[in-house]
Amino acid sequence: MEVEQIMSIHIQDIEKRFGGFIALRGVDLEIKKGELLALLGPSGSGKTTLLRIIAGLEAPDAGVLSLDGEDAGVKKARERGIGFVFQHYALFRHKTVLQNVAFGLEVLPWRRRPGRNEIRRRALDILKLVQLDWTADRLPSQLSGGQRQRVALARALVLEPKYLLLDEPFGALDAKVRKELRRWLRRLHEQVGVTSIFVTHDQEEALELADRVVILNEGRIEQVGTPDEVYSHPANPFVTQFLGSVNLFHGRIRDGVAQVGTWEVDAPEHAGASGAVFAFVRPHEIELRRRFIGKAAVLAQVRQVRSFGSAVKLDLTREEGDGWLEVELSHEEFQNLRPQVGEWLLARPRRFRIFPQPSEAARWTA
Amino acid sequence: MAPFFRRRHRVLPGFGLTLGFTVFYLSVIVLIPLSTLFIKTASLSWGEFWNVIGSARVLAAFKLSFLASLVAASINTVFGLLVAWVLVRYNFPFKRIIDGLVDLPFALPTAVAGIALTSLYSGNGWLGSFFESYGIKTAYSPLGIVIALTFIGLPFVVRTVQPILADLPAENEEAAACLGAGRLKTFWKVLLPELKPALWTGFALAFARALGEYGSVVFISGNMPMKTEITPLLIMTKLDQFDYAGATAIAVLMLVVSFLILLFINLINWRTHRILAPR
Repeated sequence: MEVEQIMSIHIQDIEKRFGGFIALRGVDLEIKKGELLALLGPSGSGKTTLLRIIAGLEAPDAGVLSLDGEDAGVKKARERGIGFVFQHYALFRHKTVLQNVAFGLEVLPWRRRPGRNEIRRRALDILKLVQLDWTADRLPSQLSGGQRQRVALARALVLEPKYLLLDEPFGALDAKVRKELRRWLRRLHEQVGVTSIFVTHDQEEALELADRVVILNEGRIEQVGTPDEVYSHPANPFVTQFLGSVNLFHGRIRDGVAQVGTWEVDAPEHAGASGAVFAFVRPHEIELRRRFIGKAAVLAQVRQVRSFGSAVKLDLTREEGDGWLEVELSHEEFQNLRPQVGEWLLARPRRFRIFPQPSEAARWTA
Repeated sequence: MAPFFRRRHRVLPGFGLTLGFTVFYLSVIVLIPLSTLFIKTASLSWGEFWNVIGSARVLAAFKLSFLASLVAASINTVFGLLVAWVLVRYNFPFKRIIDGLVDLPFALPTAVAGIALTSLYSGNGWLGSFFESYGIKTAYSPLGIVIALTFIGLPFVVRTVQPILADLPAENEEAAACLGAGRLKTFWKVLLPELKPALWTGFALAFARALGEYGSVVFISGNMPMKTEITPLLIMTKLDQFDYAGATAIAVLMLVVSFLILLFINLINWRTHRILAPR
């Protein structure tokens, strides 16, 4: 019983195809009441389709969706108590900001519709919440992109929805506004406390904003977890590569020990596996030196140095193979080393993430 | 001398040239021919002018012409929207052919249309005999005129609304649905306001076309003075009687009234356009 109380949205084995394109291949997900969840994935991963299915704008081909323990399959979009914010705002351009926000109240069946003054008051209250009450009589075309997005949010919130769904809410905004709005949405979520799901392809946005992140790829969920869990303990090569830059090494594993180049890495979690492995290293997990005493390292040549921002980023080419090596140093480390473009340096990873490579046969049957 | 128009840099130059050509072109094609109407009418004194205009037969023809055109344009607005809706929103077999059918009233010689409609709607025609059995006279009555005018005005609303409807983002309707609006409310409150300018334009075009229509109506109307005689026909009758000044007097009045109506519709449209202009 208690579990059902906490679970707000329950998704079971949802499938969806558009013609020959399979958008979702059996997705299971549980969304807790009051949480801020991110659906993260590359384009075509099915994240927007999943959001639209929850909203009732798309019908799944198979699977069960329940909202607050009730099967939502029979409910139309307008009966689900959902606030939806579209990527391109979808504001009614012939209506003023206030009329846009009041729309949800205006179209209530007359028995439940509040009076004119009440509608106006409630719409203005929500506009105040998004700090845009001063634009009430303007048209959407007279607002900036960030303001339009906030109006769209206000419009979705006016009916006090149980779930707030946002499709790429910051996708069409410039970097600075996006950052501001992100912080602002986080505050708003704490204030209103409505269960919220947003779709994004920007891993930084998802990791910074969400309580939990769902990573989708090719219609499947790759991993679900808190930002810290998915970033520090990615479940597979896809998640590792998708959440930030990464350097790839190849190796082989046997009896829980991976042999990557000249390094031996313990990987007890893959004790049963044998064969080829991927070994991933994040840019800040690589040490650069002019010499390592008694330790194995690879030789790499500095190609480019970018020293703006919080860290210094170096692009190097490895001596063996044709791979690039991306390294992040703190400004302090950089000052100590002072590497020159064209200089040969020794690189040594501090930490590997080992994943057995799926064999060709396994990949085709999956 | 201060320039009349503030000069602004544009990527595509040639404002002066194109404006000059536009004025010249409109003068040659529209203004000069029409001005001869006014010149010819001026040969009448005010008293004679009012005599021509104020005669019961002319007034009846005016009333019939404007009313029938108004009704036909209104019918076309409603059903033109419906046709455009079906053509844009749904896929069905032979859609291209049906889409092409819409333009036929443009291409057909109006006399052909008139004869075809008359034989269909006259007392012994297929549809005419059906209506007659209920006591409704279609051909040779004002109703017949409305039918003919509806036929020739069909493409205008369809072709003005179609592209606008096709460009409307589906998100607007989805947003309305998420906010609890049913189909009817979504149509009235979200779709219709977006389509209004196109509907007005289509209505104005269909109305103007109907006012000037002659070829198809003369066959189906029966041309009874005071009853089923439209203004363009009256003008032709005057010309047949070598009453050139009388004919132009009627034409001038018709021109002025039509221009005022079209101007009014355009003013409404400019207002909504100003609201909607920046997307």
